[in-house]
Amino acid sequence: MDTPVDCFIVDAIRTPRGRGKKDGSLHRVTSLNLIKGLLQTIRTRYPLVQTACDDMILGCVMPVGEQGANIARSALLAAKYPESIPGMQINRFCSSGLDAVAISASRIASNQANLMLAGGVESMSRVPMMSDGGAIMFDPQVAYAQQIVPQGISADLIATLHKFSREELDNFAIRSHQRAAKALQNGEFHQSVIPVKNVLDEVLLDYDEAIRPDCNLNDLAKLQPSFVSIGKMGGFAKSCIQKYPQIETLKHFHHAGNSSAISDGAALVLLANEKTLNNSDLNPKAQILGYATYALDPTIMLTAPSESSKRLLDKLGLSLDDIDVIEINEAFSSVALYYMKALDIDDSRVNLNGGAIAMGHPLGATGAIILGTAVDLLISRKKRLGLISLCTASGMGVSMVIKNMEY
Amino acid sequence: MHTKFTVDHDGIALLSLDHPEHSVNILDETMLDELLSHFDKVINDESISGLVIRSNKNSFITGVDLSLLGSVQSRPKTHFRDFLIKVHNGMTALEKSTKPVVCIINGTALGGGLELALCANRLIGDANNDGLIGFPEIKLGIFPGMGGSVRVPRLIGLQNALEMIFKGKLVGMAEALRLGLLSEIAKDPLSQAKKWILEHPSIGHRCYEEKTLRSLSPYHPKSSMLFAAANQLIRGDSWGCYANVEDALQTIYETLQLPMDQALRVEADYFTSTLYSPNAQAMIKTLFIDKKRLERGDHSPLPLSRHFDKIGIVGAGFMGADIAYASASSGIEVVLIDINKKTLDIAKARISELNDKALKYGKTQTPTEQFIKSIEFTESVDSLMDCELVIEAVFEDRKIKRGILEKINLVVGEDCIIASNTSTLPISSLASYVSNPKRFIGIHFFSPVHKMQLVELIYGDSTDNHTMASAINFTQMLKKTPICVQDGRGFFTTRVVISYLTEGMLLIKDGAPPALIEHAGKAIGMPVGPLALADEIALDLAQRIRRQTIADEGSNWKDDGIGQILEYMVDRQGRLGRKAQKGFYEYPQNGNKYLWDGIKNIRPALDKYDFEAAKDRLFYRQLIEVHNLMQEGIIQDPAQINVGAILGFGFCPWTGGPSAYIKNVGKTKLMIKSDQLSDRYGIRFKAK
Repeated sequence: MDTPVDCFIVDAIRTPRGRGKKDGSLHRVTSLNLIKGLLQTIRTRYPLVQTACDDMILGCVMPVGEQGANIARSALLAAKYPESIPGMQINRFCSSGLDAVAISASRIASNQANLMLAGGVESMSRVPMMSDGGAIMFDPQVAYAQQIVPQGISADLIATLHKFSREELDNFAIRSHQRAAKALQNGEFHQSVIPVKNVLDEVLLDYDEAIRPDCNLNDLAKLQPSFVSIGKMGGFAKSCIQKYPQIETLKHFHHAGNSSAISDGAALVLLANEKTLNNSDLNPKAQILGYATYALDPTIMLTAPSESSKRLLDKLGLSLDDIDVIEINEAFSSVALYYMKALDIDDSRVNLNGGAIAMGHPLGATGAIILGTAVDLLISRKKRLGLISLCTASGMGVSMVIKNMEY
Repeated sequence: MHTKFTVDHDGIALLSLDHPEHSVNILDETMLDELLSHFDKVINDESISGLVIRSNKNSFITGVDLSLLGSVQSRPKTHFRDFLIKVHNGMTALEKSTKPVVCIINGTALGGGLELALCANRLIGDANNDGLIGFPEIKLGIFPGMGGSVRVPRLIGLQNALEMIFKGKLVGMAEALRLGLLSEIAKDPLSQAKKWILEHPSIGHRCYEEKTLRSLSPYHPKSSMLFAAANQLIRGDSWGCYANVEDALQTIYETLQLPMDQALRVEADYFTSTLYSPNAQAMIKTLFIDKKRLERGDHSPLPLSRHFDKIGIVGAGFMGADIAYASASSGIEVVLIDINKKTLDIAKARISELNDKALKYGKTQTPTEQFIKSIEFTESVDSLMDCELVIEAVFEDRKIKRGILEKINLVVGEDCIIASNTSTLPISSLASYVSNPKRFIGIHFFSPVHKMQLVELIYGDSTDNHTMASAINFTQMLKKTPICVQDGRGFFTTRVVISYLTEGMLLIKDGAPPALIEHAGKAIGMPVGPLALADEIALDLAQRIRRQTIADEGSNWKDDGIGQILEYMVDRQGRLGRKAQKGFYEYPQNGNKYLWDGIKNIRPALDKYDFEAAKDRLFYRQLIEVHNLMQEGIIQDPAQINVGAILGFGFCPWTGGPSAYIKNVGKTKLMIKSDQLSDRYGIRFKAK
């Protein structure tokens, strides 16, 4: 194994995930307040950040409107952190939260910083997807030339190519809900989920509200596939066929029940180097071993995580057998099923506390959220190594390996 | 002078277009220069209160002089672009002056003609003279480049603009009014125009309204999904083969985010870049310049302008009936003969139906009852006696054709031309069944005749030039495009089509997934995949042609490798193709066709087959067949090859035709490719 990165995870906290709709419990909370609440918790738990934090990097995928103009800096100012802590917002779509951690870790590991905050925020109910435009869907040089289609179409393409049945996809979704429900009941999220409160200090939400413990095959079977009409009317199905000419027709299997839930939420990770740990009372929960990115065809879009994981493990001299806990972001059922198929792993190590299909996927935050889930799992299950991976729009995949400090 | 300019007592200028050398107005540089100087006068002469633009012809303007666009290489790109900018500046200056401008559309207004009209504040259609209105440029390898790509979305909205520009759809006046291209249709358009000008002494042009532009931006919520979809829908149709399509879309994307002057500069840059591309030049040459030349009969071996009054057609099946209809609707008296009364009845019904349709779409005024009288339906060959031309269109079987030709030969006059509509049998071999082989010729129509423009004329060994020139005249009367080829099995078109179908079936044998084979055909730019085309032609017909070829060729026959596939499909499975509702595809009563699952019984598909390899096989198989036909002397004129291939079997129009493609990439590359492919797949890829 290479020399481990000199960067440790002191804590990884998050808000509960609210349903990303107008009647969701967090809809009335601004994106700024989501992250501000977490900043206040961090300050209470680790007063040192006030004086020693070098910077904060936040992932946010729709950085427009209230999430625009560098929400990281805005949140630090709103939370009344010292004005000397700068703040920066980044975007690599769905992996942004993990990328924010990785960039911060690199700053620390290269001795350019000692203590960093990293994470992400997204209120999808307040700043809807597609709010930020972007050449990739519209400029013909990319969209026409590369056949860029909506993600749901890509998810259906993965299912079509790999012959995943509707039932397999639905069963995966049900398992996500069952595992999340059980984890919630067992208090697995207790340490890391910080309730969101109003100004009267009343709790607005203290659990992931999209979990449906009674989710079952009969109910899911009633749902109509979501991307039939857009696939046809938008020409997207035909575009998939031009890139994957071996298929005659695109099969549409994904629906609201086996796709990640639109959601509101934020997450924050405190990172430090060994020197800072030695000179303070901070206790690390985990160490970051490595991080890798890779990209594949932007049309099928969501298949790169397995490749980025393989490359990362090769780099670290590890094999999949060494990994105890795996978090693959459940953007769609087919993404997780394909990841397991491509790496030849079963689901006994994967998403043990459920995932985004049950709990939601607040885009910019999810990378940091599932990193935290992996940290908690390693500790509660007394395991050594965790692997976190996410797919992103336009064909990218991001993976990170972490190690439990105790093992 | 190409234009006339007068000013009436109200101070309204009247600008009339009247090209001195053509029966229609064609926008050439002279006419454009005159227009721009008149625009300048209107803007600067304070006594002029408004402008009416109109045509003195029976139509408005039928387009830009394409022979100008087809020979741009002599001029540097930037010169051409600057010329466009000069035109844009003249038009925008008129738009920005607040003087009211009305354009009267008295009939057809196409391409650059329509683009010119759009700088008027108001377009009034002449109710007395309907015509075709639209932008056919996309089909010629270019796109609207005289401001059309910028103005049309602003004037009629994104969705309608995309339809008009990318489908090249031509509409009548009523539809143009509905779309908002025309503001009104008037019986007395000139007085309406003057009245409107007097009522609107000062008016801005709609294209400059910032509010409209904002909502058209690809990043405005109103347009964004439409634009995302447009990228894929247009890609779905073009398979990425056409650079002009991509450039047009890029132009619209960029210009919808710019004010007019900047937008027009962007359009001029992209248009120039597209126009100068080898493929666009090849498409313009083939589909406009060469096609027109062939329609004029410039390739005729004799200067002749013969008129046919009466012709005969023997065999009243699908093809015979269609040829009879096409001839009769061109004013020729027709005798349609069949030994079977029932076949004649069906033919009569079909012809009536075709005329009914033409009536419905305004393509004819002749009532069907009257029309059908110009055709004599009979079982007796005696009626052929005074025909000037007799075409046999019976079953593709040598014995049957022989019997019919011998019968015709006995009845007709000495000067009568006898023709066969065979698609495969060598003409010289049929010529021996008539007493004067000099007057025998192949006239190969394509199905459906009323839609397919091409006619392939085939010289037998003895066919004389007078017969060929007459046949060209006949096709001209039918408003078809004739090409002349030498004799040989399958002549030109059929031989290349068979090579395409055969390669498709061989791909099945090599384990390519059927969907991939079909998509490879579409991806190289063919209108349909090879298996779908085989189904259309009918697999039993393909088998019969093949068996006839084997019998005729004897020991010269080289196995094409598809005998077993046809045997399995036709003899064992009874899957004859589309006509039987089962072939390589299933054809459900309600719903789209889909590939038959049983193709795997021929050979199960491999998990992976290289798509590019499949594309190469389908593309180069045809290209090498064309090259070999040229070497054999069956057909040599590039113009006839290119026009014939695109019009006859839809060969990859983006290339401008197989000969144009070979010329553009160079013969060396073709030879290298041929060596590679023949090493890998067999001798059929060997270029002669």
